[in-house]
Amino acid sequence: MFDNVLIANRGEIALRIQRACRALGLKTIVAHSEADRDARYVALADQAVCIGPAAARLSYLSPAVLLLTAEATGAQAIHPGYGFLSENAAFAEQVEAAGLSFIGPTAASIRIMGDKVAAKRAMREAGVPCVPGPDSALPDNAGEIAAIAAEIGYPVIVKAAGGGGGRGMRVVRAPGELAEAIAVTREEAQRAFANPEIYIEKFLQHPRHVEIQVLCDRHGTALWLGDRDCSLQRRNQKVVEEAPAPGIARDLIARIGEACVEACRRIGYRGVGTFEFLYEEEAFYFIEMNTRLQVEHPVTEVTSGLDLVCEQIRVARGERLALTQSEIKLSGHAIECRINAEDPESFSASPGRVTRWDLPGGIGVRIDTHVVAGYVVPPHYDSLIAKLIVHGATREEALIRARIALSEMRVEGISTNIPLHREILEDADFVAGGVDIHFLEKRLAQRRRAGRP
Amino acid sequence: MMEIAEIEQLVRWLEEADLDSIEIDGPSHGLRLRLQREAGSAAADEPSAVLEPPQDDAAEIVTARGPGQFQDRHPAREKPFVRAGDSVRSGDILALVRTGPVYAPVTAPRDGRVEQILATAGDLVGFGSPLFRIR
Repeated sequence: MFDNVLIANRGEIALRIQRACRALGLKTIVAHSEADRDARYVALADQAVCIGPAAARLSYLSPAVLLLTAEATGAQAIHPGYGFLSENAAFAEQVEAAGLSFIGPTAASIRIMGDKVAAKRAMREAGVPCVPGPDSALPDNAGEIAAIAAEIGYPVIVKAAGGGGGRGMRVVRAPGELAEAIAVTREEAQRAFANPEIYIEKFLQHPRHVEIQVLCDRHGTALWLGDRDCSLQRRNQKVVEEAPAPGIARDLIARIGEACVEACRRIGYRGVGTFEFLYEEEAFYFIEMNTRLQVEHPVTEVTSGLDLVCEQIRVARGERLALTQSEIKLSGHAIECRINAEDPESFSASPGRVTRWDLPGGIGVRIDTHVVAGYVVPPHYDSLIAKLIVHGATREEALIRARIALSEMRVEGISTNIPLHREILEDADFVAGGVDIHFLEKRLAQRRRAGRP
Repeated sequence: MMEIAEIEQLVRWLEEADLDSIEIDGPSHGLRLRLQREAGSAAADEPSAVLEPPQDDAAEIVTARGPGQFQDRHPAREKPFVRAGDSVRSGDILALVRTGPVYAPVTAPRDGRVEQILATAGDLVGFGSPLFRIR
């Protein structure tokens, strides 16, 4: 049991975690870099300490620095947020070894899910549908590899077992390209993830990205809290997310949700987590599990009425979930737009001082942001500066509210991708619902061909 | 960084132009040269260059390198490492920053005099927190 929390993250999620801690009556300790010294959540914290220079390697990404900070501040728990050290099994282990609570799953769970081959095997055993292909690392023998690929059927995708989030993978369309793709991916896997294991799967041509949110306590209760469609992506980065995924039979989602929860029980999962799937022709294929809170968690919060961060902290304190699966009622439709400090055409980062910051409001509108007028967006980190989350009784109502909200929002001093969001929300195919993961890239390519600046 | 030869060249140019001082601001360093002339003499017969850090009148702020508790004395001693006004040599221990069982020394970056102690024993300090002013 703990009564304070060290927040080992920055930006909007640091503020989000701080709010949850305060709602639960927990003291907050913010560990910040030199670049985030003037952030609002730093001033709002019960205690704040500068842990290092702007470079994340020397601050937010350094387990040693964070453990020392926890010791120096008397922290009893660490919330890692998302990104940075949130899926670092060794860090989770060190935190627990130091006698603190890691607000997340066990190191063992993080480790299984961090190894994509081990994760796939665990999912198959729990009855979660996976992408066709063996749940084991590839052998070294070229002939054996070719036979495996032929059995799956081309196109196939070669992936690093230690990769994830779109990194360390290569599509192979014909047998002649296989040997080189294997060699390059293996080399990259060793270099980037320190794990030379690679595996091979069927490459799906036009999938959607649909994911299931889970919440588990330490007493055997595991719940699924609905689905999210995150198909709007650019370079494997999600841009718009919505809940529920439009046009997918609810009984199919329920079957997948139950399978995810079964997998959680089998591996003794605790806390919040997300099972990511590709969805194509009315079938789900597991790709990976994120063993942490996600950026897009608010769309699930507004459709389920649950505070996921509070629930996550409660289960880390050892409390029992007060809910059962049948008490989870999902209502309406939610859409999240990730507002980034970037050029809407070239997508290059746009750090600097925000001179004007007019936020939208009204019914069904929520903004999660750490930015205020006068804030300086530092150049050192991710460009996410705000999340606009809208909720409506129907998808149509949510779309209308999102358009109005975006029309009210005014940001000056830096560039943002708000114009891109306005365009997406007017796009006939997006409005119809159910676009695949290549949709946004295709639209952007069309735009470039049409000679727009 | 600047080479000694470049500084000597600057000194010669100052003499030839009959100037007293020059300041240079670079992206990675600053330099201020002042020629000391002998009293009562307008001519700079034996000029000497004085190299100083830019801006702050030669005072230097010693900061913490990481988070911890500021300790002005060794845990087994009653006397603090230094008091305001003490002269210190480069490398002298000025204080400790404690995190649990680890005591990290804070050392003097150069010879000088401790003008002011900017933290109080027991304070939680972080990366960059000012601890001493040395001149």
